[in-house]
Amino acid sequence: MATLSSDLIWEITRGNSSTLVKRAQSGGVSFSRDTFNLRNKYSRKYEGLVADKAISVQPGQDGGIVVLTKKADKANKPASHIQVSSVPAKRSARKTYAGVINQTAGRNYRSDLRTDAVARASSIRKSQKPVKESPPKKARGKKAQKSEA
Amino acid sequence: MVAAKKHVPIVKKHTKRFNRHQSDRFKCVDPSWRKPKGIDNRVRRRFSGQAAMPKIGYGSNKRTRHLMPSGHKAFLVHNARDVDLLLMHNQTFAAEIGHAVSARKRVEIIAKAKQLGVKVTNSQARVKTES
Repeated sequence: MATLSSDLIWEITRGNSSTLVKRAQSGGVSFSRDTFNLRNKYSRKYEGLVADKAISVQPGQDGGIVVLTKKADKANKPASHIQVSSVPAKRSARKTYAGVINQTAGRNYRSDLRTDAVARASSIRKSQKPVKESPPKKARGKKAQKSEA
Repeated sequence: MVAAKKHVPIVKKHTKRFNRHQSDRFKCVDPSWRKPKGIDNRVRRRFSGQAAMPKIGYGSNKRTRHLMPSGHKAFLVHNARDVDLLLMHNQTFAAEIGHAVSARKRVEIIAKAKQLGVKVTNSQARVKTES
């Protein structure tokens, strides 16, 4: 996106982007499906499609986390446009976050997204844990009386 | 499922509907609210004992507007991909499965939501195996 200004792209696409998901429910919200959007929030700051530099944190193939960053000078070379680095599943939480930061904010690459990148890494880690079975529902009313008797 | 973020208590200032003046007396007068405009109208002049009129003061606190009793806001989803959007918002938003979604896809959506810690408001609908 180097040939066009990010602000211009944002102004053109903000009303109708393929990544935009709008709902009128609960006062109206707009989320974004963009993989380079760390909060899934449709805004100029978070929308990665628009930005020259953007961060993406995704769950890895077999656990762990993959951090993708856009190379600003390779905007016209799709094959080498995106830098990929991964953090394996067995890495501790602190080290995972440190890895995310080292790839991004630690190198002065979108340091405004530091907390967002770490937050996303954290919630992805949480979502990779095995799901707890929900406890069986207790019978109420007549069914409870029946099972007691 | 993650509990909602802490919020100020939800206060509903007026839970009853505002019915149109004299809609109880004539069946041709629909209860849908219409502001009385007559020069002598006692409801318009806010005489004591008359029905209250809706006004902006009845509005909810901005912080609790659109909140469900659980403290979440609802977000309509139609597939598991929509649930992914709520990964970073599971404290503020709960998924609500669209009415036309089949039982098979509902199972997928609910499993995905559970993985991401997203609350589903209508998770019991259609997925029941026996009644």
